[in-house]
Amino acid sequence: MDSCKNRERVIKEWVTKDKLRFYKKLFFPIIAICFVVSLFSDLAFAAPPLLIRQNQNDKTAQISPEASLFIQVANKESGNDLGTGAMDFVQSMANRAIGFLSDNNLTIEQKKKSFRTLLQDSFDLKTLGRFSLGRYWRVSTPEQRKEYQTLFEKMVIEVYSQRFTEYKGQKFVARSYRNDSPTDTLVTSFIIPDNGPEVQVDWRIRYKDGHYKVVDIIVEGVSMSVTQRSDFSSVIQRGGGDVQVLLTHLQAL
Amino acid sequence: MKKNFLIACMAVFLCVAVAGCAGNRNMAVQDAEEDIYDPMENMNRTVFNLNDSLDRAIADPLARGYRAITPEFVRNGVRNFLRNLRSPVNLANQVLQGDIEGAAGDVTRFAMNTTIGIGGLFDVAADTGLEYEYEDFGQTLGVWGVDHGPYLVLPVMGPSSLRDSTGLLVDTVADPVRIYLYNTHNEEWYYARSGATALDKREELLDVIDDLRKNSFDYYAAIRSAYMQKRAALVKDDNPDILTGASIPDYDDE
Repeated sequence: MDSCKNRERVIKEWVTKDKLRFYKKLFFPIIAICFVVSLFSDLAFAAPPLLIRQNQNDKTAQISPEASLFIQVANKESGNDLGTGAMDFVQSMANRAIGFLSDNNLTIEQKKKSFRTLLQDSFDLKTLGRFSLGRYWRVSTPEQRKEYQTLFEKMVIEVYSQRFTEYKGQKFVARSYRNDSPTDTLVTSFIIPDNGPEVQVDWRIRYKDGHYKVVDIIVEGVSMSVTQRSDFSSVIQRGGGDVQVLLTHLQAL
Repeated sequence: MKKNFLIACMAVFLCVAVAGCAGNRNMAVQDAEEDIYDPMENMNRTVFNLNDSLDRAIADPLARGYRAITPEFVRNGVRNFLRNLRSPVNLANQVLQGDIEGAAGDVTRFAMNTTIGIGGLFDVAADTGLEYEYEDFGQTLGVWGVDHGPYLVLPVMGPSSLRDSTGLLVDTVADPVRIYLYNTHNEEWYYARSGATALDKREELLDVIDDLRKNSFDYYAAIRSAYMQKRAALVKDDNPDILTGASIPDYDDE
């Protein structure tokens, strides 16, 4: 009698244990199925617009490197030398910078001074500033705009000259370009250190009034202008939407 | 127990992620310029500040010390070794993204670097033109068309989003190296590897973070923007034909 009860208990225990194990086994597949279903529903909704967007935006994305090289050559032959001009512009600007940055006879102050001239020559500081203020440009007064542009230019020159004077003998190669709009060319370049990975830098070069000017620098996919605009608009937004708050920050530099 | 906990976390995250995506799809972008969705900004800023002080106190000095005392070839060796250990995760994600060329590249890289590169210490494959590509499940979800959902700052781990933290969990749970180390009761090696990865990553980012800290008024917003842009670029696999940044208007009209 006693052993029978014991047996019953053992069986009961075994059954519950097995049930648990069974549920445990079921747990993961159920999650997996939920996940797959949700993904498919997501794909069904999100994929078609995505595909359309891709087709509209990057006509060159489907083309192999060899083919795009051929297109570049073809463009060049058909007289479209805006892109090559922009690439040469980037390379010569870099060479000019490397020229005085690697000159050991110059003091840091002299280097910074040459850099300032270079920046004023080759950067479209007005466009950079206007873009970085984003939507707050429209709500600012003409006096604020004027003051902002002056302070912004001062800041950019300071920031970039300090960034670039940290030059440690890296090589600079402009490798390719692609036209993004009738005026804009994106030049892809690489900064190559003696040791370690290359850094990809894309330059948005605008051809206007017979001059090439830099309007954006994209380092490894991160646009300096977009980051700057995020920073500025957050400062203004948190200051209650007042452009003056940003101007105070800029004055304090 | 630990495994069950991880799986439970994953389940919760997936449910929330799916709900989040479903809700987000129909939501109008609040600002045409700034399409970063950050509904939990206050909480994120608190965590961000905490992370920042932790970073200044611990991670930043450690990374600086690491850079100071080790020669470059040692650091490269460590990085290559850690990257080689990540091969299974990278490979799985390449396959899931349908990037067959990338997957083949990962297999070749692993074979080359593990043998000729002596267990992954030397990245000989990169010299042949097969560059390392970092893939994670967050990117895979991105390729599949899943949106970021809300931006999140994770404690200690830093900037992320609902999509990317889901990806992080999936990668962690599915990582064969982790499963092997846990099942053979070598958890301490897993922790050592995680620590080394964090140190290597922080050392790699030293200059970038210094620059952002110094040259931004709102460090939080600058990091958030840079993170979102970098993730978008990674989802597109840094394809130079797509990396264009924002289009910048011609302002001459005014």
